[in-house]
Amino acid sequence: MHGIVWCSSFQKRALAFALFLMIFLSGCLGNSQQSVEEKSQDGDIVLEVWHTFAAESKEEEVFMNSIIAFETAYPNVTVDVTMVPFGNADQLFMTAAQGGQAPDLMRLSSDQLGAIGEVRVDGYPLLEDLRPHLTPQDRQLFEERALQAMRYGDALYGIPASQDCLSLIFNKALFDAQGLDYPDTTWTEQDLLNAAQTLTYNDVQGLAIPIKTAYWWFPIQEGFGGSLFDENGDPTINSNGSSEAMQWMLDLELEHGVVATGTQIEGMKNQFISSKAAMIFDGPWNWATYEASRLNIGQTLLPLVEDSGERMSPLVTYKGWTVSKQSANKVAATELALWLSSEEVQKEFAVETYTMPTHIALESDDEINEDEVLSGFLEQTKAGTPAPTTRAMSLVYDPLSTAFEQAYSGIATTEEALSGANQQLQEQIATLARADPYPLVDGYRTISIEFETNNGTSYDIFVDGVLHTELRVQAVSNGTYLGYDDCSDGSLEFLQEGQVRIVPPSTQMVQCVLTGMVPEQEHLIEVYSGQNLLYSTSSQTSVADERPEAGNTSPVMFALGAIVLSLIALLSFAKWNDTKLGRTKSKLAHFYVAPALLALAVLTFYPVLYGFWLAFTDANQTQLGDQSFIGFDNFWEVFSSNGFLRVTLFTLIWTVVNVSAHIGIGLFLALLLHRSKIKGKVAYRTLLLLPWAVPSYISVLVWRGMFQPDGFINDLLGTNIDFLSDPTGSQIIVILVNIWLGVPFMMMSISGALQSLPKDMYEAAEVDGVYGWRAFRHLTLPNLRSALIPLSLLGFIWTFNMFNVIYLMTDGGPNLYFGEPGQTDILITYVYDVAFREGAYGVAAAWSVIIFLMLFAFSWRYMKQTNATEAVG
Amino acid sequence: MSDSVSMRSWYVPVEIVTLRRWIVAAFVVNVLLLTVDYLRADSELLMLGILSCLLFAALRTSLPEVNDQTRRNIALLLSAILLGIGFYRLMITKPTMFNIWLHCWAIIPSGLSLYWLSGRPVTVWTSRNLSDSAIEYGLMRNANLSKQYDTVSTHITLLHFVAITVIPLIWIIDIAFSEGNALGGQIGDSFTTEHFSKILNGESFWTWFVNSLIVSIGTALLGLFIAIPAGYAFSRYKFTGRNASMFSFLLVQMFPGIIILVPYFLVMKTLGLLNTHLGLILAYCVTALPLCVWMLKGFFDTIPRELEEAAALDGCNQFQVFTKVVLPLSTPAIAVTALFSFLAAWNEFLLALTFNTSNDMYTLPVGLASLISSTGQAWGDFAAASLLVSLPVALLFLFFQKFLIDGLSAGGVKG
Repeated sequence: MHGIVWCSSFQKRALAFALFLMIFLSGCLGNSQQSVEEKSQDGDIVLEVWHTFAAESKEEEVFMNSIIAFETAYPNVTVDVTMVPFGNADQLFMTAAQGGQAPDLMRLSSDQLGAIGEVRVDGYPLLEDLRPHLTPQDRQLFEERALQAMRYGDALYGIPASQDCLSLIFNKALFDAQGLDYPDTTWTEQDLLNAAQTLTYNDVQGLAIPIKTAYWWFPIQEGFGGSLFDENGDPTINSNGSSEAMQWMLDLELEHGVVATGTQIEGMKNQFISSKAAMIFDGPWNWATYEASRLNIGQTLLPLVEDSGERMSPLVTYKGWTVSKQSANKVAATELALWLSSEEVQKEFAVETYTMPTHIALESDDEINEDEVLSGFLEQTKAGTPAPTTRAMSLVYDPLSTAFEQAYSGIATTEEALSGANQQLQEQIATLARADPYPLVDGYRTISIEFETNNGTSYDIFVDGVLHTELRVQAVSNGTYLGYDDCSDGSLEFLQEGQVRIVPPSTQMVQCVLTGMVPEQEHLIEVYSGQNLLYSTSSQTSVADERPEAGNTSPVMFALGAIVLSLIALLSFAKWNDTKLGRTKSKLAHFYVAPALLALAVLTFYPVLYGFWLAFTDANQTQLGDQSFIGFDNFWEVFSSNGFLRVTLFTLIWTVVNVSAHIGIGLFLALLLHRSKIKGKVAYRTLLLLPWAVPSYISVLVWRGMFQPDGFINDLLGTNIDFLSDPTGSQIIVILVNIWLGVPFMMMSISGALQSLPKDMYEAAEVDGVYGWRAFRHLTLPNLRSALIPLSLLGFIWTFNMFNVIYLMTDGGPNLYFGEPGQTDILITYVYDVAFREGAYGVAAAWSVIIFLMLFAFSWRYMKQTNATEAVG
Repeated sequence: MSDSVSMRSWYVPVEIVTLRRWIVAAFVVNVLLLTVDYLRADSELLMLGILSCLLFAALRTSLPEVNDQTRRNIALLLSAILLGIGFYRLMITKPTMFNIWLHCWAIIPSGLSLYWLSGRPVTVWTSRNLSDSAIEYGLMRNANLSKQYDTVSTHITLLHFVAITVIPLIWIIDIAFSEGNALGGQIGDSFTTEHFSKILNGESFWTWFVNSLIVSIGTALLGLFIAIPAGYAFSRYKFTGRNASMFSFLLVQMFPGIIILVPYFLVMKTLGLLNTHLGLILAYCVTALPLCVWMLKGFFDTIPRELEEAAALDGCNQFQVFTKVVLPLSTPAIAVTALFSFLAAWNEFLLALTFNTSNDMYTLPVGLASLISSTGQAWGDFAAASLLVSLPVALLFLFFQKFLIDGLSAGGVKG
């Protein structure tokens, strides 16, 4: 008795100690992190940069070299580089920004800018408007198109560092084999088709393009005379020529057979690498891969379209360096962004990695012009159409993918499909939540000057002896308003030619807001008219930078404290209640359970409660952090959405089939390995467990590859079926793949549970003549109950919320109907779309609450039914 | 006399027993394989396939009982027809490995059936009354052969499952050892270890590896440390709030995690756990807790209470009872939960990515994802890295099986 008492107090102490240790440790870590931040503030400047170049790639190497060069040139700046996986970059950036942990600098593409341009966190945009930071001289280093692509509305969110577009790439050996001339700039779409037909023989295809992918359709649409948007930015994806373009593209496979069935982007690359396709539409980014595969390849402009007389014009997208609104060192960050987009760095990227530059000086660079690939692709970008950096552009892909599925599967004609897509897109744009443009901070990094003209022919503004703004006096001008900065005669803004301001001859007075000034630093500003100093002043701006204070943790701290305190109160009450009831044996039970409950409550209760709260708010991406309560509106939206029942039904089928198969097959294999006395059991078990060991990311993608028309499964069957574009086929396949993934875990768990079956029980049973099925039914199953119940319950919950497999295999597709979930979408994948593609977080949270309630109801019922929580003692 | 009658009714040649099972298996497999003919859209093969399935069903029902020569003859005839169809189908399809395997599922069962049904043991058994000594011999023969046949059947079954399991993995291995970075091509068309040397020579891989190791082992240990007492309490005690606590472990897994990443991030930030190993360890423990607690609770339930009482009578205190009696008996469950926690941490991607904003803290899955660039995957590097990630886990599987098998049988729970 004494022993037990000692023991229990010892355990109490140990527990208390462990808890203390955990809290203490976390406290320590928090402190150390803060001290790092403090240090960075008083001494040198530390810039945190996120990039998306692949690890161990040539791009990363060039990038790291340019960072080192920057640190050498600016010894007081330290750059912390973080490589962020490309696919998650913008989401991660948004999460970090909401937590107040955004990096200073990040590389984003123009289409990502279109998606996050209207995101507001606590009312602030994510990115710094760089207009006040750049001088006209800085700006005129870059192609105007590229600079415009970095703008969202009026704001300039990035400094363009590279551009991309598709072009025609061909395999010279395959052309030689057929005795055909190589493609050239005079080719029309008919020449392309003729050549492709000639080149298609045996297992070689004339052409490989992913015919159901919008990005590849854009150039063809332009060629046939269509366009994505009109001048007002309204969608015109069903404009003249668009449906012809779509038909022409689909016919490449369906009618002419020059493109292999179901070719997708990966398939296109593979076919080309293995010389199974003579021509592809691809960008410069894969050139190095093709060269490394020892292909003799050439490139030329995309062909003309005979009827319209226009050339196919690929969408040009840009990537650039952006500065975060939360950055504490925006001046240095802008400096680094300019460095990373500078002539030298862009040239290095171009020469080493075939990254197309945007720097004006490189247009006349000998080395680049002599490089066939670089100059060829640069010419293609000039024939291209810059992708509009708008929210509408980022929404274009989903309706188009549905339109392609519809036209491909024959549900609709190309006209019908495209007008459906256009209508869907218009509706989406109309219902989109919009944020107001964010105003600039007046005077931050700018100094206003005003001077009188002297009838000269030009005025040059110098800042600290360096040319800043050029003004030219000119009578009539057909210039434009670019709206980067402000220069006027007091009322009328001067037009611009390039970055040069056009001053009407009669102007008496010039007012200019000079950008790119360093705060708290004296600047000498001089205006020259020709050689004459017209105006001179010394001035400085002391307007401070505006920094959002996102990620305030005190409310969270308060919530966590409340959760912990109420948990302790609950446990104490439970203990008191037990004492009152006289359950003396179980007086330690609460201490045993406490650590697990505490960890659970501290980490997950707050997020889940927050998720519930979100479901009743109007949270969307334009007002993150300051959403307000709107009652049940989100739930009505969910229940009234098209396809709600269909998705729920498929989710149930998905879950039930998967869990049954996991447990059935797992049990079968575990029993087989448990009972039989064969050799090599360890080897078998290890092999059977392997799917659990391989990261599901790659195994799922390999499965997807195996189900492609040119994949392994079709090789086996000797067929050419596009399984994943068939609604039923894709549903069966995602389920099969998930079964494959889930069986090993169940097998392992059941193997563990089987060890608790007493062997002598079976011996006794065998003596009584109970074998096989009866032994299984009456001995094995009842004994496995205690393991199978939690396994099946948790299996159900996990499978219901299993995101990876469907996301990676089909991304919910094929999407046959506009504005509805795809054929293989389950609730969780659809919630993801709602949240991250549409930015409707409140609605997504409402979906999540519904998922939660479904699972809650099921689990509650199941536990009551099975008495799973019963204690033995 | 009565003894021999009962023996007579008992005795069925092992061939018939085996056939009964395997004809059913062949029937099921052939029905499944109809999908192949259907997908090939070859109506002749499909008709033959359906015919084969029907014939297998007929063959199963006509497998003879004792002294039933008519049914044996029918079964023989059916087997012969099936064999014929099988060979015919084999001849008119391309002789690929897959096709041969596919038709073996018709040819081998029907061939065996033909061979065994016409063989002496079955002929004798169906045609005349056997003497007692013959039956005795037959039973002995059965005992010997049935073990062999069982072993063969088990191997065949397991090999099929292993094949399905391993084929995608062979693909990964092939990509990892192939030149270039394509996802495709023929198996074994080129060989290089450049992807492995590239990954292994990169500094970052080892950083990721060490991080993953720390986090995974930490998760497994801390997970067990908090799950074992909880599981034990849930199994052994009745106390206020018991069911509610057990249910609360499930609750948090029901809410879709991707929606609440931001508040989770804020919690981690508040606790100062961003960019720390401890942060990830705690997060993964919480993910793995429900399964660990429930599994352990279930396993503790199966350990007889009497054992603990006996130990207590022998003078062990409660703590000793737990460590000396309960824990050793629970090795298999602890092994499974530890493995589960380890792997939950080892393969997790989203939290590791969100809670770490520094490359020095990346774990392997995040590292793997960062091998992908915006312009396309370097599949060769990616596959090689995946294999390197999987290898330690495969070794762990080998190692952990010892605990799975040695669990209770070593502890010896009798009575």
